[in-house]
Amino acid sequence: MSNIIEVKNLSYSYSADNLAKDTALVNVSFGFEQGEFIGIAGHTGSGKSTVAQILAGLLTPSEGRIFIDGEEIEDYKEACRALRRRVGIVFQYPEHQLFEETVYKDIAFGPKNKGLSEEEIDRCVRKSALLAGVGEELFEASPFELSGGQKRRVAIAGVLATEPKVLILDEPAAGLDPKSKHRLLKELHKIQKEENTTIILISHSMEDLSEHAQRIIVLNHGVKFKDASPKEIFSSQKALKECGLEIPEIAQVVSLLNSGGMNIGSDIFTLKEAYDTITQKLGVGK
Amino acid sequence: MSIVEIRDLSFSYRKDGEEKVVLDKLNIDIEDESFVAVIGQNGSGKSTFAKHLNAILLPMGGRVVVCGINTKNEKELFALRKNAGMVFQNPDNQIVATTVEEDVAFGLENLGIEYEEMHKRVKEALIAVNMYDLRKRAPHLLSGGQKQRVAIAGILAMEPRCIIFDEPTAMLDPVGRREVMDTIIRLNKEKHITVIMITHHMDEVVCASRVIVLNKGKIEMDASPREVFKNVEKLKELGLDAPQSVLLLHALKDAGFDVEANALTPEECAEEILACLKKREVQK
Repeated sequence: MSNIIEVKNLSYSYSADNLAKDTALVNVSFGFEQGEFIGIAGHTGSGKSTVAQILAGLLTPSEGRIFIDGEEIEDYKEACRALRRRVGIVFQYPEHQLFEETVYKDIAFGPKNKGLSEEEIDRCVRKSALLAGVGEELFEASPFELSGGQKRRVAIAGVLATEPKVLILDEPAAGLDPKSKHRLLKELHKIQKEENTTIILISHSMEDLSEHAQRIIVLNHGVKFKDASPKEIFSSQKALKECGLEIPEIAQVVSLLNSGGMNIGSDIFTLKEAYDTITQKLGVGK
Repeated sequence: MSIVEIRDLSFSYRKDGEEKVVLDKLNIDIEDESFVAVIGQNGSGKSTFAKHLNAILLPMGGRVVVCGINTKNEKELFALRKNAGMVFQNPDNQIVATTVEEDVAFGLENLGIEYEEMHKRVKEALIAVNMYDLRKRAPHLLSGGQKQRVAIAGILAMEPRCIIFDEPTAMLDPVGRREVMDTIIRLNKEKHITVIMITHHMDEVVCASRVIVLNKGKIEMDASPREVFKNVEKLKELGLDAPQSVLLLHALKDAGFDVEANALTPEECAEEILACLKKREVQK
């Protein structure tokens, strides 16, 4: 399958004279297919948000090539427009962007601006509300009366209502309790599966990324450090630490078990895998 | 001795003509110099509780006494806030000045502290959070973790007995989180400041000596982290979680393996599993 979006040698610098200290992104290349679930990880200032904004067509790169559906779009303005039509972005704390009187109106804002008919708008709103886990009983409520988790789901539904092919989420679980977080991540999988939407999850939490992403891109000081499967990423724990990232707690346990002589392989980083491997090693339970 | 005394604290608000109870007759005593973590799902009343500790909110029922001051005593408001400082989630909302040291001095200037004394306190506070070397830096050039430590220094300069942290690491990356958590632990251990910390991160709860679990405005559990994390099922029912090390040991124990499920850290967890492996080898 070919990449729906691909960027080659992407650079971004805040000032026109390209001073190193103002450079947020240096020579970054990657692409992704329709329906992939990708994680982007990196410390604060690693360039994660800059990448996200460029992919969403909100920021023009300083240098680099952009391909959409396999074809290069040389004119950046045109490329941005094309990206905006395909990519939806959920910023950090998206609930701060809710503004309409009712939940329904808030979700309907995007499709309405696209000039769809009332019927079409209604279909979009109901479908994206269902996907994002917003119950129809909330449609007439004011978005400001909802709980934190509900507000966030409404904000995500609002982005989904524009029917993006690619959905970028910047730290969507920050400030949510564990239950709301698990629920949100599950919903992202549902969107990926049912709509074949590409999900790009930007997060500090290597635990969340390792559990959900098929592929993780690690950025470090604006440079692409790695683009690989979670297994491969977590096999080099020392390098990850140098990039300012954490090792999932399970991977820490596993590496302690290995150095304690258990020999269970170093590429285990989710609870389930660890459980399966350890029970096998210990033999059948009593 | 208790530094915080809460008696029958109730708080509610009206919505659509209905009474919504946020805090329901809470009774809590917090020991001086202790480290207490408060957890609970969104809407459990955690933040409302925290805001009662330095009179951002006042009780509708019951009373809150912090450092011997009743929070309803308006005349003592300054003394209360000087003694019980608060650090919030977003460091950007808490920074006001153009350099790090001016920012830390801001609160002291408002208290009318003398220049010499102010200088000394700012220096001490910045050293305590490991930010003295960056004292001339403009705050917007700092990382999230550094900004949050400057915010903590600003509180520290007031020489509080108690600091309340409301999800202090929610917006930080792993390095920033580590820096801030290390700072909080050090303030508690070395400066003997009472720490009350609200968090969603179960691995941060492990640092506390006591955990209070709130649910629907009531105390659901109140014990050491080790005790609290023994009840994984109950925590999950409450929309919470446990550190992965705890979950792994629980799963192994439930499957019938001879492990004690009371480890909290990866080190303790690995030790327990290795001990189990050894026992099995001996049996063979």
